[in-house]
Amino acid sequence: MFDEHELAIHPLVPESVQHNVRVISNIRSLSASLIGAVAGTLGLESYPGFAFYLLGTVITSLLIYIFLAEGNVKRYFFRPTADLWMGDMFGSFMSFVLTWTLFYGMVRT
Amino acid sequence: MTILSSTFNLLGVILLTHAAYSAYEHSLLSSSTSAANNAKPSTKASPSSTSLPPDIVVEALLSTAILLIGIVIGAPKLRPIEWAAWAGEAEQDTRRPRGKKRFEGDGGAEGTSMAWLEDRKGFWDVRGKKKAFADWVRENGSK
Repeated sequence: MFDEHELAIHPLVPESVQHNVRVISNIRSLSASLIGAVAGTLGLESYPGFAFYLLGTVITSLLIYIFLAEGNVKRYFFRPTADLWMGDMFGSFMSFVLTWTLFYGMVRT
Repeated sequence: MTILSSTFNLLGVILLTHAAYSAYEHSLLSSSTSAANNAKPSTKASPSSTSLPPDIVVEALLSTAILLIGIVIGAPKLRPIEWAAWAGEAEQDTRRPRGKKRFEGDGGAEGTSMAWLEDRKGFWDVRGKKKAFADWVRENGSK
């Protein structure tokens, strides 16, 4: 109920919400394939590789927080925890695995 | 912003390519030397378990950091989701010159801004209408 009243007083712009989600997911998929390429180049296997992905996504979130959201998360995201920190964390996991295995196979002949 | 981000991206891609090629060469070299060593009975390690030299690791990690920063800086700006904040920014955006608009590209600031208020109709001129009607009546009565 409180949420509804809050939304009635401070309405949201759906286009802006969509735009932000699109920007974030673009960054996430790009950076996931980049992290996969580096993980394959470094020759990481099994758990270290997954840990590297987690580390990379956390760093990406931090960079978004610093450079794009400028520390003011409430202004750009409706649910900051879901949209920025946790949201797409595993959405682009498959592109990470793709480039990871690709680069691993290319580098280790 | 775009020049900075493309510089970062270019530098990162070059570093990453160099690191990947170096890793490839290293694996090739170590596999060939270990194959040569295999003739002798005292072989140390299989090619897959030889670790990369630290400079390639450092180069790859550095290129990751540079590319991540470049990607994030080069991304389009986020937009405020609250209507009040968004409308304020969009209104300011309409006054900026054409090349410097913040929301240019997909959608732009039009549609959501309050520009339609500028060219709406004013109040109805009651006195003018009354006078026109009186003129019309007088004209018809005089005929």
